[in-house]
Amino acid sequence: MSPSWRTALIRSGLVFLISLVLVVGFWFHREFYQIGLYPLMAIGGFVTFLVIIATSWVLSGGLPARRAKTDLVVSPAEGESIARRETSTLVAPAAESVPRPGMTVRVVTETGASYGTARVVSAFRTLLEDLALDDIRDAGHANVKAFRAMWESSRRWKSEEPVTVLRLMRIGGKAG
Amino acid sequence: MTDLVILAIAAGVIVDVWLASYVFLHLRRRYVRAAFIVLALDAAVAAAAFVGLDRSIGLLGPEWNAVGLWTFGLSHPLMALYVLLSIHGAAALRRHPYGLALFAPIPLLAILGPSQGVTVAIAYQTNWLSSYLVICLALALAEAIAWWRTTELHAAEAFGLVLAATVAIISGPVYSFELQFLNISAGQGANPGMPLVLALFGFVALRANALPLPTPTAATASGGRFPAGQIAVLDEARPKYASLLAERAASAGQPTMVFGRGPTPARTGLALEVSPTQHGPARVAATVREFAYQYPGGLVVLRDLGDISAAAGSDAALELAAEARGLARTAQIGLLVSLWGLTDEERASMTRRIGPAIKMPRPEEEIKAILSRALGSAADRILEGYAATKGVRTVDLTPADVPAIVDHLRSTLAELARVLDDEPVVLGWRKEVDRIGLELDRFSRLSFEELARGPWPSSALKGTQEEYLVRAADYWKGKDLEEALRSAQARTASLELGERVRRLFLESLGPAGSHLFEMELKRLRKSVRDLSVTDIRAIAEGTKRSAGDLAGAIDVASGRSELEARARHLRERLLELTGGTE
Repeated sequence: MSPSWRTALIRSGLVFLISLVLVVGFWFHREFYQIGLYPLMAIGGFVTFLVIIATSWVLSGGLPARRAKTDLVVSPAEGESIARRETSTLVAPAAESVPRPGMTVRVVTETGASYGTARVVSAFRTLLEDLALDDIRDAGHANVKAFRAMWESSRRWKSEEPVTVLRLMRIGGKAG
Repeated sequence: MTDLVILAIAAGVIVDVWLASYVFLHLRRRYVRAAFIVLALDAAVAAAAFVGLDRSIGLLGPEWNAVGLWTFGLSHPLMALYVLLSIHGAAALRRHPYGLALFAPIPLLAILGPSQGVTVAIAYQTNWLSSYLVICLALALAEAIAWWRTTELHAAEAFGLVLAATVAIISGPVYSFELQFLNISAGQGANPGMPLVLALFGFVALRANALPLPTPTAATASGGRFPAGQIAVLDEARPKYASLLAERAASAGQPTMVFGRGPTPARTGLALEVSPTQHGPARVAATVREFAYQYPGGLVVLRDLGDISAAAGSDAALELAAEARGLARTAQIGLLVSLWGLTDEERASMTRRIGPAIKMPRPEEEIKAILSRALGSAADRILEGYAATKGVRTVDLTPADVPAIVDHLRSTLAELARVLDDEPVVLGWRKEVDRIGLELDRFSRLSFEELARGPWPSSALKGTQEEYLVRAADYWKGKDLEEALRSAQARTASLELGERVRRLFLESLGPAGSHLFEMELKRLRKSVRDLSVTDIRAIAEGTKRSAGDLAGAIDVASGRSELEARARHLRERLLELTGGTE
């Protein structure tokens, strides 16, 4: 079983357990909740909603609603590559705001074209000229020269500029 | 209904004890662990007493009422104490002495409770007692909320505490008032949500668990200890001095902990690799705290703060450094913070909050400055030659490379002198190399204070000191020293280069790689010693062809594609050796 499946299974199991606890709670409190169906639906529904949101927050380390709003802006080529699962790494200047590990992001271009969602698995810093060749290849570039050409197409190459290396895991969609 | 409630509370006893055992075995935060275990066991005893005292069970006599009431009451200040310890660590009671004051009514509870006719069943209905118990829970919740609002580094942990304190309030006083409202006696005086509260406490504590602390290494050198309580912010392009100073301190027997990603100094006993994931930063913070309690007078090196910033944000990195700074003062540990990998803005915030940055030299430039003084422009070639044989870049050189650089210089210049075959010149060279070696050695041994004070060789040698009467370059009798060095280095380096190529073949293709390498040598009509960078390019191309021929001879498609992939990988690595471009 893959780690993502196992994680999904454990999380679903926990949410199911909490759902059971809520149902049991309502059963034990049936006398107290004799306040009519509609008020119970409104109050009980709201409480259940809060519990599920909080559980989700604790399990994932961030509010789902906030995470869903996070966009990871990439070039069209990078977006295509991520969508096809050919790219699992992104390199961005450290000064730029990037999503953090654990976040689920929408992969989009500056024009708004979407390439699905991905989860940020980890992030670390290095210097531009210290990037490992493996990271450059994982970012979809054949070699340092190709990476540098791509970098210089939009920014100045400063060899000792700190950069953030993001490792991504594509969520959903089909492998290309 | 009553039976079910009793059953649920009895099951809670098992859960409480299990959680206490689990946390005892897995949590490495000593104070939090101790508080958790006491709380869990207290909750277990309170729940067990409640079950035993129940009329339908009748296991315990009324004399146990005091135990039930006392343990039930004690769980409330314990919960507040647990929250305080989770937030502030050992400093909790010093910063918030009211945490201890909360326990003051507990002895009175055991004495006054039974005499006043207070039982656990009416604990929340007795005004004076109810107020005290609710205040304890409210303080726990308030502290957790205040922390949640201010921390970036511990946001998930703080939220867990808020949630747990909320559950404790709902399943404690709120639930009790609800039962009272309904005139239901079953479950009165128990906190059925306690196992859930403990599970939440345990869950968040374990997610921010401290990393295991290895045993410090024994001292192998004297000197190099970093002063206890001293805080230094190192301004360096790469974390060379953070690593070097850590290594020196560890060698001197000072417990030293380096937080960083990837290789940490080999001799540092307490080097830890920090995973750049979302929980990494909180775990680093917990580990720094544990280290400070366990090894007062030790040294903490925050080497890769940029990673913390990438994983949890700039504020979290700053918060971590500030926490470490506080611990350095209270627990008298040394603290080194490297600013490498941080943006200009982050560097500015860090120096404002932690302390002024101390500019560190670039070792490669200082080594080059020392070499240049004797060798002129040939210093570049010497350093490049050394870096090439080690398979690193010149920017990667550190003071730890100095002995090997001197050896390289010695062998290169010996090669030159051998060609010249002139005894006085050979003698002169040796003296010169000894002199350079001494200077390099002196630089590599500069203490932290000397490095901070300066001047470094690069600035000291800029015309302020007396020039050598005879420079090393002068021994070469007017010939082009750089050119001579190039040929001498080619001879000494080519053997190492050839062996590296052979190793790449073996690593990529296994034993067959060695044969393939020999075939390539034969094709080029060269020996291992004669290989040059141009030859390696030719070998890379040749490998592509040979591997293609070999792959064609394999019938199984998977085997063929694997061989092709390995050959492709080998070719790429060979090209990397020649400069990384195709």
